[in-house]
Amino acid sequence: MRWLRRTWAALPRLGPPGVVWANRSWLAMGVAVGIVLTILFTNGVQPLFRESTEWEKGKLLVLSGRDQSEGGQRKALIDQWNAEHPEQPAEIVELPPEADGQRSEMVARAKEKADNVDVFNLDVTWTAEFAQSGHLRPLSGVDTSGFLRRPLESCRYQDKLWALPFNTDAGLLFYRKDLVKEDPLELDDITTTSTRVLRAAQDARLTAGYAGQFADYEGLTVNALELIWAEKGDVVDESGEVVIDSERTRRALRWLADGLKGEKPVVLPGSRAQTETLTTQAFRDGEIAFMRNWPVAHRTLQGNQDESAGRPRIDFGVTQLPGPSVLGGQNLAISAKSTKPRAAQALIEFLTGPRSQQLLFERGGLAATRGIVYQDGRVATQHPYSGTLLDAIEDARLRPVTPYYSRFSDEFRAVIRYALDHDGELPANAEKSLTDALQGR
Amino acid sequence: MEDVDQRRSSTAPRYAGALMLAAVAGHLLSETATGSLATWQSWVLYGLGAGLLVLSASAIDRLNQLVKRIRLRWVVFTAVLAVVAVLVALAGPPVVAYGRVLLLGCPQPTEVRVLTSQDAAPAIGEVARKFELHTAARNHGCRSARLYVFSAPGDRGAIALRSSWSSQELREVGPHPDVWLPDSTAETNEVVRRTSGIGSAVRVVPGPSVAFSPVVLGVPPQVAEDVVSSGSEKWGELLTKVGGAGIAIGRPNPLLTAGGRLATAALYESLDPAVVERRVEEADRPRPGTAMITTEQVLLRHNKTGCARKPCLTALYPSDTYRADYPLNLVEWDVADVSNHAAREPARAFQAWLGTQEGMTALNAAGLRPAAQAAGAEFREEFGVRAGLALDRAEAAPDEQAQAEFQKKYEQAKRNGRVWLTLDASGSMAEPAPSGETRFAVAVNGVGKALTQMGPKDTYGLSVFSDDAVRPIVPLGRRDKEAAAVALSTVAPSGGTPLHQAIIDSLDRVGTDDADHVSAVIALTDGEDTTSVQTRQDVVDAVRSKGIRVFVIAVGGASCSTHALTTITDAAGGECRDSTTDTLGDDLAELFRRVWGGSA
Repeated sequence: MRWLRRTWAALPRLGPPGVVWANRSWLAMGVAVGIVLTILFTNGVQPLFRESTEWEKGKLLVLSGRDQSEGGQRKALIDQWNAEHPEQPAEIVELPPEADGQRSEMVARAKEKADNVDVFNLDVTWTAEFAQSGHLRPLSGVDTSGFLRRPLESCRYQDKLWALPFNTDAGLLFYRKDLVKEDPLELDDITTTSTRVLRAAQDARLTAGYAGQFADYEGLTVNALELIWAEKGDVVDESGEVVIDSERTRRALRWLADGLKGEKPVVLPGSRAQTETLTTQAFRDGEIAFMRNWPVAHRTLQGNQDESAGRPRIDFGVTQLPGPSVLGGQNLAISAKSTKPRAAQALIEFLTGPRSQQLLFERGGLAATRGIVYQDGRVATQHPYSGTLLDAIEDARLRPVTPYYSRFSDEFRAVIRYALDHDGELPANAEKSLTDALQGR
Repeated sequence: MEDVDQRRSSTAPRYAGALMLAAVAGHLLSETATGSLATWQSWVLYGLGAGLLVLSASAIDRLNQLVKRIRLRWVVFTAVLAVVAVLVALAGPPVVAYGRVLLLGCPQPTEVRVLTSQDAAPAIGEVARKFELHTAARNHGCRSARLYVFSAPGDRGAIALRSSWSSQELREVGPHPDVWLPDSTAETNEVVRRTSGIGSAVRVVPGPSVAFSPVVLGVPPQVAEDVVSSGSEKWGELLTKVGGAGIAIGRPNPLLTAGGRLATAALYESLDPAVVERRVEEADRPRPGTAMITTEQVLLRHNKTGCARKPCLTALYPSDTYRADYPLNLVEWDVADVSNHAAREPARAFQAWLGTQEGMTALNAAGLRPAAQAAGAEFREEFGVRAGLALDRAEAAPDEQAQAEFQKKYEQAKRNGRVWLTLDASGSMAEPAPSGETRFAVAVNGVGKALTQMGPKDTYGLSVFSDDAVRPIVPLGRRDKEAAAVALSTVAPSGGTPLHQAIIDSLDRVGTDDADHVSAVIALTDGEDTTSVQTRQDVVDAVRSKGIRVFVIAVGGASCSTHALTTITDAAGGECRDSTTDTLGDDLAELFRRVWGGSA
């Protein structure tokens, strides 16, 4: 106890030289003043400046990619909003269809001084970048109940809500009913079934078992992640560490690299140059037994089936991928520079509300972000795959969350391309280059 | 204790220290309350800052005592201050930047949008990636610029710039460019002139050429061996020889592409324009077994990546050829919404870097020839090109007056367009478009708009298809625009979609190319074929055997790639285009402009 007393006595001489600890009352008073001032400020002064809750008047500009819904449902919704709210009319400024081009224009506009946009329609992978760069205004006082968990998660970054999910998406496994009798549960099942049907040669058009999107664009990132997850491997773990260098990851990449080879390949060699529409075409032409694609392919295939009278048709079924799917979709966020944040938030809540979501899915074919829509009878008849899709969305995973996502995706694709050319082996610096990319290097 | 007492004698520092602490505590509280300190990095930064604040407050006291002992206090003080100020000014920004990168990661790179031609986009994309890496090398490994390289078909980029990038162009061409890198300086002059006026929202600052690529005649290797006799032959001689070898010669549209225009201008100097026009046919990309007029870099890339047995095409270098010279122009927007001021500095840096050794090496590796550097290792026979060049001309392109004359000559010499248009009148065309009209009504309006593109000697014919029949409603050879509107007003869409039958029927009606006519078929559909007897392969075979270009416009439920319509259009150098009801009119008009030779 003596040392304690001695330290106490010596205290005046310890600590930063300018602060004289002997006169502790000064210090205590200072802290007290600080606390009191803060409390006064937050409770007394701030409320005086608290904004009103009335919506600002004036035009709301929405920056968005092209409306890909059937029959222009997004525009129909905006028309409806404008009829109900003539003082806050909304207008969509449509950007080029390529995601990279959209992002480029949005980023450039966000950096302007002028208030030139109120609402961004962001791809799910951009939330972190836009939030970190200060382009977005966090949402407050929003009722988020009713949204599906995964799409809502993609709207959060560093524990703040930056957006509301506009539409969502998850990859599905399409298969030919005449060739595939059981839903494949893992990649090996796809191999087994493919080998069997290729050997049986029931269908002369059949050239391979499986196809995905392996052309060099975002689709390659999505497909490679899903294959790695199907083998229970991973690329970036929960804590943000790169964990690509594992036996499971290698097994998935080997499955793909080996599958692309041979006389009767498991994976369609042409799929290394395929995007979503080309894969759909290969499936429709009977070249493959399995296809990984987004639900929009269902609409195309179904449409063809209805029209093709008297010609060989593809009878197909839909099930979940062997592993979790990558979560797709778009989120609506408020621009930090908007002078009409309350009206903008109201517009976002309108567009993501249950009724709008129902219309977008039922008529437009854009997968809803609210669970209740999937229970609707009309939706289930219009889109018979909706139950499977809901399961896939609930099991889906986000792509790595980082403000430098596009860098990461570029780098990840370089790693995958190397692996495909080298029997599934990873380049020596894979872990380092991906870690750097996550930091924007 | 004496020391402490001495310090107590002055009360000022005591207040200073305590006040600082109090302020820090208060601020800290409010920061935590509002949630600004969300990450551990921000806590570390905050801790460092607070520590510095308190330490400096106490340091002032020490300093005060020290200073009292110094003679010539003020002189020393000023000197020390000056030195510190210089040190901070010099070392401060980089140290702060490095600290920031260490703790918070890289700042986001500045977005620079680079518009180029479809031909040059792959090469410029490669060069842009190398520039990004270059910016990282001087910036703690963080790229300071991100170059989004995109392209527009034909002269759409130039048109979009001239019209200050309308909202439709934003939707269809791409984002507002900060850099415009077209194929030829000849393209920039007019745009620069038109946009330099007062009131223009865009200013194009013309820049120097960064590299060049000669226009060449690509021929299959075996033909090259037969044809070449001496080193220096002119365009006219080469065209005659290759034409004599019996293979088709493809040329990109001279009004839309620099390669096509420059080659044609050179050809007209030695051959009669009419002879040239009868010997070449329009083509966008090389087809197996045919010759192709294009730039050297396109041919090199095609040989390297796009063909199985290398080389697919050997470049013949006419001695009187012109060249694409890739000027880098800076684009400055004066609209508050989209000015993207931040991009101007990296855009200029990109321009400057292309002139450095590193930049020129990057251009060289991408298959372009910087003027101040010898051709690199890419230029070898294996890829169908050669490193050494012997070109007669000093100028890259004919001067403006010569270009205007050339255009006139081309208009006179080109063969007249003969177009058969076939429209989908199936039941689905009765569905409403977002505008409220039916798809068919939108299509009819589009046809009306497209027919205004007709040249003085061009002609057309028109049919509609539905159920299992194709009905011709305007016979071939008509020139009046009203005939189509009148005939179409009687059509009510219903039934199935015999697309294949319609295309084959149109091929028969329009007839193959002859000495005075170039034929084309344009089909507009909103769905897949449902009722034809003929399969897709039948159509492909018919198109290939007749060699007539087929263009398809897909709207509504139809899709070029999903429904494999491109396999039909690719069979003879046509094109399939996905369109929407609100862009249908413009897409049709552009197609007609192409097949009728752009007489508008």
